[in-house]
Amino acid sequence: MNSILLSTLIFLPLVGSLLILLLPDSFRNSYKWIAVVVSILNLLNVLAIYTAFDVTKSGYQFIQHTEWIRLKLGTLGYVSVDFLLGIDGMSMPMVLLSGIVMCIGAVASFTIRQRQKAYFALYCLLSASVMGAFISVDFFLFFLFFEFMLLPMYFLIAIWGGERREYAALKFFIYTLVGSVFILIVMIGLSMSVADPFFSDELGAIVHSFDFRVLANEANYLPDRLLHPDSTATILGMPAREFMFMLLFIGFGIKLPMVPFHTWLPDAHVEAPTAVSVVLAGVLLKIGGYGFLRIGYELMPDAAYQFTYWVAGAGVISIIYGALNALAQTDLKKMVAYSSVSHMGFVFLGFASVTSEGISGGIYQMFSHGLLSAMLFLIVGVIYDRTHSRQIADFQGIFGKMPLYTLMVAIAFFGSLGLPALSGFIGEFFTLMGAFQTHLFPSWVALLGALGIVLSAVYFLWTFQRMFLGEFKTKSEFVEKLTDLDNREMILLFSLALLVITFGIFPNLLFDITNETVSYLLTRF
Amino acid sequence: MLENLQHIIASTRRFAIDEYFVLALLSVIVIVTFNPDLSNSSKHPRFTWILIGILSGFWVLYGNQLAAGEEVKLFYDSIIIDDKAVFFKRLILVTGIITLLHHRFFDYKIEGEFFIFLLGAIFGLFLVVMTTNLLVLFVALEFVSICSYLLVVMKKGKPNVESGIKYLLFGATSSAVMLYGMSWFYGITGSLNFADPAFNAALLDTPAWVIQVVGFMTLGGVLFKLSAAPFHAWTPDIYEATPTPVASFLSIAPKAAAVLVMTRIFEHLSVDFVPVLTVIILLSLTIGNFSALWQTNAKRMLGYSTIAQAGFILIGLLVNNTTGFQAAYFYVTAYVCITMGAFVLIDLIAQRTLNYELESMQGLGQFDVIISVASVILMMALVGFPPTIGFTSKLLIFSSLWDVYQFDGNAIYAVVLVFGLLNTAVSMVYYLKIPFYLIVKPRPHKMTWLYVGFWKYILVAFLAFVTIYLFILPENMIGWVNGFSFLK
Repeated sequence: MNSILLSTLIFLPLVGSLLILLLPDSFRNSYKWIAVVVSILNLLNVLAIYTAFDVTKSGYQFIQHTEWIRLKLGTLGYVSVDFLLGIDGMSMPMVLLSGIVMCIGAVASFTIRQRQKAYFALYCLLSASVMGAFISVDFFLFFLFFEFMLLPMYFLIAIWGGERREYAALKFFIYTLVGSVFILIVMIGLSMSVADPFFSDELGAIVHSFDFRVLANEANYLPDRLLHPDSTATILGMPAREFMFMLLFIGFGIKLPMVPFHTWLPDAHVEAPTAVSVVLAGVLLKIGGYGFLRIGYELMPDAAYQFTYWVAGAGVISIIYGALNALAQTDLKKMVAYSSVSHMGFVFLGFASVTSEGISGGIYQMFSHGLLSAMLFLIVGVIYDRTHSRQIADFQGIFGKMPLYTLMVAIAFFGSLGLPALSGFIGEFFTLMGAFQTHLFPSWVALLGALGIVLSAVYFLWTFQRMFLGEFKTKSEFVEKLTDLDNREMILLFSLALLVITFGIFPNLLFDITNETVSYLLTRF
Repeated sequence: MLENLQHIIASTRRFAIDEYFVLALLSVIVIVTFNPDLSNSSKHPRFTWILIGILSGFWVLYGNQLAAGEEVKLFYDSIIIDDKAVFFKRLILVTGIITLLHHRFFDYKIEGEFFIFLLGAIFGLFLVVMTTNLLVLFVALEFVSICSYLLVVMKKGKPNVESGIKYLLFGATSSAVMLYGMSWFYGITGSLNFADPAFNAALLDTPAWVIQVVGFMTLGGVLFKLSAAPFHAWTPDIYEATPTPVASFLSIAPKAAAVLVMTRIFEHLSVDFVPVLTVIILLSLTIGNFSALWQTNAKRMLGYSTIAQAGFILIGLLVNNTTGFQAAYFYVTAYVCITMGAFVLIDLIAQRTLNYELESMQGLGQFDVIISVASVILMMALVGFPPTIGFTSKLLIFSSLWDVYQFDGNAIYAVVLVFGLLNTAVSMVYYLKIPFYLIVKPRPHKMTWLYVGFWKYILVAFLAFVTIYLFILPENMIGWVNGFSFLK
C-alpha cells in the first residue's frame, strides 16, 4: 500500500486534468469541484504519508522504483533514468506544504470565471508537476517536473493575469528557463561522472545514473571524470565542481528568487490572478530552495563549503534589498511580492551557515513562508476582488468595516514579521541562530540578516497602520463594496491562520521530521 | 575485361532494390507524361495512395537488403551499402511517405510532375547516403539539388520563381565551391574515395590549415543541404514560398542524408575539423535563433528554426566519435516527427485561417483543443522541452559533448555546451509564439475560421503523439542508432 502513495500524488492530478479536458462543456460547473476534490484527496494522501513517516530514519522512505529509460550510446555507456520516487526529511515538509497550498489555491480559484476548463486542467497539471518535483529521487525526473511546471504556470499567468500579463508570463518563463539550462548542465555533468555500481555490473557497461543516492555517494564517481571529488580539472578557469555549484547557485537562485535575479517575481505576482500568486509564492519558489539544498548541498558539499560567502551574501542582500523595496511600494501586492524576496533570503542565509539550526531553519522558513505568503496573497485578493484596487493609499481605517478580515491580516502580517508563537518566528530565529553560530562567515552578516527582520516589521506595521487603523476613509465608490469576508474566504484564511499558529507553537511537528536527514547531511561536510 | 564485367554484373544484382526504385521512378514519369489531366481528376488522390503504397513497399524491401552486420561495396567501391545507408534510406522513405500523406490529406492541387521530382529527390538522397566516392557524391547531390529546384518552382507564383532563383544561385555556388574543394582533395591524394586509407595517409603530409580550408569547401555542398550557416540564406525564402509538404520534405530529408555523409567523412579522415565546425555551429545557432525572433510568418520562422536545429545536429559531429555520431543520428531521427509535425501543424492552422501569419491565428486554439495541445507539444519538442523526444535528443547531444569535453579538456567544447544550451532558452521565445497566439491571445472580434476535415487532425495528432511516446519509451529508437559502429 505504502508503495503507491507517492505515485498517486503525481498521477491523481494528472487524471483529474485529463478528466476536466475530456468532460464536455455541459459539465462546466463541475470543473472546479474536480480540481478541489483532487487537491483534497492529495492532501489526505500527504497527511497519510506524514503520519506514517518514520522520523528515526535519515534516508528516503516510501521508495518506489521502476526502471524506465536505458539509452546506450557509443562509448558513453548507458544513460539510465528511473522512475524513482521517495521522500525524506527534506522533502516531507515541502510535500506537506504543497498539499496544503494546492488545496487552498484550488478553492481560491473559484473566482476565475473565464475559460474554466483550461484553467482547472492546467491547475491540476501544475499540481502534478509540483508534487513530482518534490518527491523525485532521480535528477532527470526532478528536472523533468521542474521544467515542465513552467508550461502550466506560463499559461496560467498569461491567460488569466492582469494587464501586462503577457510580458510578465514571458519574463517568468525566460528567467526560469535560463536557470533550468544551468541546472541541466550540472545534471549532464554529474551523471556523466558517475557509474551506478549495481547496474554497471548487471549490464556490463558504465551506467550513468541520475539517482540522487548514487550521485551523493563519492565512491560512485569514476576516477578520471571531471566532477570527481578529487578532480583538479578546471572549467573556464574555475575548479570544475565549484563551477557546477555556481551554475546551481544561479539556476536555483533565479527560482528562489535571489537578488539580482529576482525581477521576474514582482511582475509575475502583480499580474497573476490571486490563486496563481498563492501557488507561485506558496510552492513554486520553494522548489528553488529545495533543489539547491537537495542538489547543491547534498551532492556537492565540498563546493558548497567554498561558496558560503556567496550564498550567505546573496541571502543577506535579498533580505535587505527585498525589504527596502517592499518599504517603497504603494501597491499592496507588490509589497507582498518584495517581502517574499526578503523572506526567501533567510533560506539561503540558513543554508550557507551549514549548521543543523541553519539548514533546518531554512527548511522551516520555506514551509512557514509558504503558508504566510499564501495568506498574504489571499488577503490582497480579498480587497482586490471587492474594489479592483490594490493601492495602499486608497484605504484607511477599514478595521471597523471588516473586522474579521483585519484579524486575518494581523495574523498574516505579524506572522511574517516574526512575532513569536507564529510560524514565521521559528524559521527566522533558527536561520539566524545558525548564521550566528557558524564559523564560515563573520557574525555581522547574520546581524545584517537580523536587520531585515526589523525592516520587515517596519513595512508590515506601517502598512497595517495606514490601511486598517485610524479613521475610516476610502474612495466613495468603495464604501459599499467593502464587506467582510464571505464563507469561502473565511475558510481559506482561517485554516491558514490556524496552521500558522499551530506550527508557531509546535515547531517540532516539522523539526522532528527534518532532524535526522539534516544531521546526516551535515556529516557529509 | 571479363573480370570487370563480372564485377559489374554482380554489383548490378546486389543493387537490385535500388534499381527497382529507378524503375518505379521511370514508370511514374511515364504515367505522369501520358496523364496530363492527373492533377484535375479523381485519379490524383488514387495515384498518391498508390505511391504511398509503393514507398512503404520499398521501406519493407530495404529492411531486408542486408544481412546483419553485412557491408557491401559495389561498382569498384563507388557504392557502399551498409547498415547506416539502409537506415537512412528507410528514414528518407518515411519522410517521403509523410510528405505524401501531408500532400494528400491537405488536398494540394499540384501537377503530376511533383511526384517525379519527389521520387527523384528521394533517389538522389539514396545515392548520397550510399557513397564514399567524392565524384558520385557530387553527382548525387546535384541530382537532389536539381529535383529540389524544380520542386520549389513548380507552383508558378512570383515568390516561387524568385525563391527558386535564389535557391538555384546559392545551390550552384555551393556546388561549385564543393567541386573546387574536391578537386584539391584529388590533387593532394590522387584518389576520389575518401574511405580509402591511402586518401587519409596522403592528407597527413599536407599542412593542417590547407586541409581545413579544402575540407570546409568540400563540405560546402553538404552544409548547403543541411542549411547550416553560412550556407543558409536560401532557407526561409524557400520555406515561405513553396507548398508546405515540399518545405517539410526539404527541411528534413536532405538534412538526414547530409548528416550521414558528414559522419562518413569525419570518421575516415583524421582532420581536425573542430575550429571550422565550431564557427559553423555558433553561427548557425545565432543566426537561426536570433533571426527567428523577429519573424511574423510561421513558415519563415520555422525556416530560421531549421537553421538553428542544423547547428544542434552539428554538435554531434563536433564531438567526432561514435557517441557523438550516434547522438546526431538520434537527433535527426527524432527530428523527423518533430519538424514534419510542426509543418503539418502550421499547415492545419493555415487552412483554418487562410494564411501563415502569426497574427491571424489569434485565439484559434481556444476553440480547437487538438490544435492547441498539438502546438504546445510540437513547439516544446522543437525547443527541447520535456516530456518530448526533443528533450531526449538534446540531452544525448549535450551528454556526448560533455563526455568528449571531460576527457579532452578543450575549452571550445565547454563554450559550445553553454552557448548551445543558452540558445535553447532563446529559441523558446519564438517557438512559444505559436501556442501564445493560439491560446493566450483573444479572438479578434467576429473572427471566424474555416472548417477542416478529420484526417488532417489525425495526421498532426499522430505526429504529436509520437514525440511524446518516444520520450516515454525511447528504447526502440535508441536501438536503431546504437548498433552502428564507426571507425572513431
